[in-house]
Amino acid sequence: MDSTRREPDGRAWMRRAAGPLAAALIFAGGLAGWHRVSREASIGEAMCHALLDNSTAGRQALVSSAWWPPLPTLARLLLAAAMPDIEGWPVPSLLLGAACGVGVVMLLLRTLARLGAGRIRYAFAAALAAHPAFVDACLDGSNTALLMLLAVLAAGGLAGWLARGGLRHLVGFAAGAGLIAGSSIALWPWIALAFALIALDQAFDPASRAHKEAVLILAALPALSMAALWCLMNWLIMGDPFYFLRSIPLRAPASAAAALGAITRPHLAAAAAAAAALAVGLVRRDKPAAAAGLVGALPLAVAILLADRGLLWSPSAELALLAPLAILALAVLPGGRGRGRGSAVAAAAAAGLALFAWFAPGAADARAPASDGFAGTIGERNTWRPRIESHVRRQSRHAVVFVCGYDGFGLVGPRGRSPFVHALDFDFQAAERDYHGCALFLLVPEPSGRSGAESLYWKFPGLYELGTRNTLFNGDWGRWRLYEVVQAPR
Amino acid sequence: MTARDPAPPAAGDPLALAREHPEWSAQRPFTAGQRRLAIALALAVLAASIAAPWGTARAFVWASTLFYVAVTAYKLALVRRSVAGGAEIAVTEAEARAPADADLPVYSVLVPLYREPESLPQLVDSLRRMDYPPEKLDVQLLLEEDDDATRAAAAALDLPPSFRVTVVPVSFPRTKPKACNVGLALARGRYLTIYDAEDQPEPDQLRKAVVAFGRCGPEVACLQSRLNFYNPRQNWLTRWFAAEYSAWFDLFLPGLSGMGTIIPLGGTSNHFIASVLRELMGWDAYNVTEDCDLGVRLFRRGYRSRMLATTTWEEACGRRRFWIRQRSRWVKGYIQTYLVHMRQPLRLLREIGPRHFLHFQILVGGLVFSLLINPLFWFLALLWCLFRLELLTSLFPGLVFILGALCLFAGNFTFVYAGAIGCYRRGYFDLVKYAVVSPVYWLLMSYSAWRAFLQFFSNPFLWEKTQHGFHPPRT
Repeated sequence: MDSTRREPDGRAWMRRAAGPLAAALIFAGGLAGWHRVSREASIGEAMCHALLDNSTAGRQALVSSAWWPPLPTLARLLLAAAMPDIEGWPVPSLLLGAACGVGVVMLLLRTLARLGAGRIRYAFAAALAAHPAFVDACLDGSNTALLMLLAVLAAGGLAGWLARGGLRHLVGFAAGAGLIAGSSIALWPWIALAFALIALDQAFDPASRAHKEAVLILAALPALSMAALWCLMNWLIMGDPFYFLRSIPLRAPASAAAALGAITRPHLAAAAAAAAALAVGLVRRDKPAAAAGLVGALPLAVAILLADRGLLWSPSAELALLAPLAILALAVLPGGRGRGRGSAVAAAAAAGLALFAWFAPGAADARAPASDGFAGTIGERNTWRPRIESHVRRQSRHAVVFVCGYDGFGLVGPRGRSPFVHALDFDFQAAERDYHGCALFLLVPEPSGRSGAESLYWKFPGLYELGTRNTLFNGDWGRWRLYEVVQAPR
Repeated sequence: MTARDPAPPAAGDPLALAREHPEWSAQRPFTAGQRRLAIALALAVLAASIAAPWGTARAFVWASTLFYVAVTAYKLALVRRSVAGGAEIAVTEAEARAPADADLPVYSVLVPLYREPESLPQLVDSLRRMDYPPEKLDVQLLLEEDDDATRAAAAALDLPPSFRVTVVPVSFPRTKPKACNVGLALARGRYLTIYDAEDQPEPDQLRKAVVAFGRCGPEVACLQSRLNFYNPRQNWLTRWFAAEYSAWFDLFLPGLSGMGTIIPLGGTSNHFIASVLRELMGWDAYNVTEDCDLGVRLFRRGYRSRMLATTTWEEACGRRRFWIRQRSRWVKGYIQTYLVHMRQPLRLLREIGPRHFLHFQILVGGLVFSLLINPLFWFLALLWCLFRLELLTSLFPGLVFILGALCLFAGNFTFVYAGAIGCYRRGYFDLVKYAVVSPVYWLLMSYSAWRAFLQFFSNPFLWEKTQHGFHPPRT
């Protein structure tokens, strides 16, 4: 067999152009619906520019929080470097979302083709593309589309490995899991479970011990390396290898009931579909279907756990993953038979999931309000930033305002313009030493949603509500609270 | 396939390539133009370093970082292409046995030897076990005229009729490719391959090559077999060497084959169409990695090489001193090959196109460059990790820092993981964990590269022969 490549014909060129064309259309849709772009996208952009400016705040922002993982920022970074900074407009995020969205569909098609699905795989892909969680992920510039892509890569690799073995599937799983480890702390249990399934499969495999060991090393190495690298970067930049993990035990003030409200009927339906795939897989002793069903349903458990701690906020990437993973589990269920009633039933169920998600009561409640998105970020910046600036300048000509937390990038932009200074790891003594002679202020965001997991709140518990012994309340500005830092006279 | 085979040619000039086409030969390490360019570049860098030392340093860091990004992305693409499958020509045992003996063509095998009398019996035994009609084999043992010990050992052996000894006259340069050119001129076969003294090819390798050539178009003039070792677990060095070879021959070269680009051939078990080899005037006698050079020349002339899914087992050099010599020779040969083919870069670009031109830059030139600069960047990374010097932060501003960190961690991880995948693919499951700690091995590679770089200027044609025979042969 000669592996010489043939020259591409017209159909091949059309196939190649379809992806970029679709991405361009999605990107245009994202721009047109800019008011739906998420706050995460605009803050992510600002972090990119802070990194490109070689600022300490940028480097700290990259690694110091488990809730702002580094890989999505790095994925935006090259795009941000190649484009001019259009004041706050998250163009790279939208491009990334569009590219990842197309990638998810293409990856699903390829995975199903490798698992032996016939043309019915297009029905599954269409159901995924039509699902509102997928549509939102592509258009809101958040990390969700990227996470969907990685989750489908990992779950598809897992199913493929359990079905057929093959290095390609094992490496696909490992790559997806490794990249997820750097993209979502909440999915670390998901990675662990998927790995445990491989280990369990190997335990019953008659292969040699050396072979099993090699499989487990190949499967786990990328994720372990990513976690180790994150710790190393925290040690180098923050001085503490586990700095980024210290916010995990926090309980955000938002009530569990409110957070649980983010879990809607469509999410439950997707989880149920995955659970059904799991049940059928167990009954039929179909390892790939059972595994795909289990990992498909797990994000719901993760979401409930996060909600219980008040750490679930809209839009939730973990909840959004339920849709593509459920559709993948349904597609794997017919066992690679491309034709037949089983495939058609599974495809119909996938389409039903998408339709239900559009029209189910309360489905729209899962979306974050526009005021919490990019539009809200710009509004906040235009409204509160000048007022805070003029307020502190009236009190002192040499005022410095430490803007704490990631939301500070949204309020002030990537470059701390005077008198604002980004502070991801605020320290009173360091601030007084570095800004000796200046009037110091601390601007802290209300601890709701992701803001409640800032390092500020595990270092200074109750800071927003009560201040500290070093601070005096100096005013409220929307959801921002200003404190004056009390300094000893010199 | 027909049984018609070419008549043996008259004895030819083993240095014909260097004499008739000196532009293709490494006989001259540098052209005058390259020498002038090198001097001009060196002076420019010196002047810039004096006038703007930090700017020059940053520019160097920038360029190196971009280079590392390109190499990392390139290696990832190769791995992905290879893992996707279909990148090699696979011939099953049944397909290999399908042609009748009478239909098989004469196959020439060249085995250059020098001071290896102890390897002869095992070699002859391995070749005897080849599943190929003895009357269709044309094996030449290429022995140097002054190698009395090996010649005596050959004379003492009861060689089969298809074996003959060809004496290579003593002349400069004393290299393997020169000996192979002597053998090429006397070869009778339609196809030709080379084996080293310690090689143990799979018995049906020749049959598979014949079938594979039959499937390919006329542009495919070379099939490269995979190489690996029969002593991978001898010590740490052989484990790492085996991991490296597994990644190279089982992962990267198939990836190149799948992409249809230049394949830097391995030293043995390359199967050629003999007439094409003669058309190209054989190997460059002055190049110490004549195989890599030939792979590029084949491609420039419009021929293609493919990977053949069959293995030749060799002895991994498990002694550090000899390993370093061997590796230095390889790197020096890559330097020679790069300079030869970059004598007229625009011509090269025209002949092979921009895509393959880039492949050549990364594969050949890039490999040498990365081995040379790796220690510098590892040292800078270590300094920064231990001391957090602000001086270093200013060398790596903004995007450069991020890209550099990505290359340091993600890039090196890619190479480690590729080694692990290569071991798995080869079936060396117990070696996967050794591949994970292969960065230590990279230090040896860089040391060898610097040794090669210096030797290129002091003694460009020196062939430091690798000592073998420290491990019993594979049974």
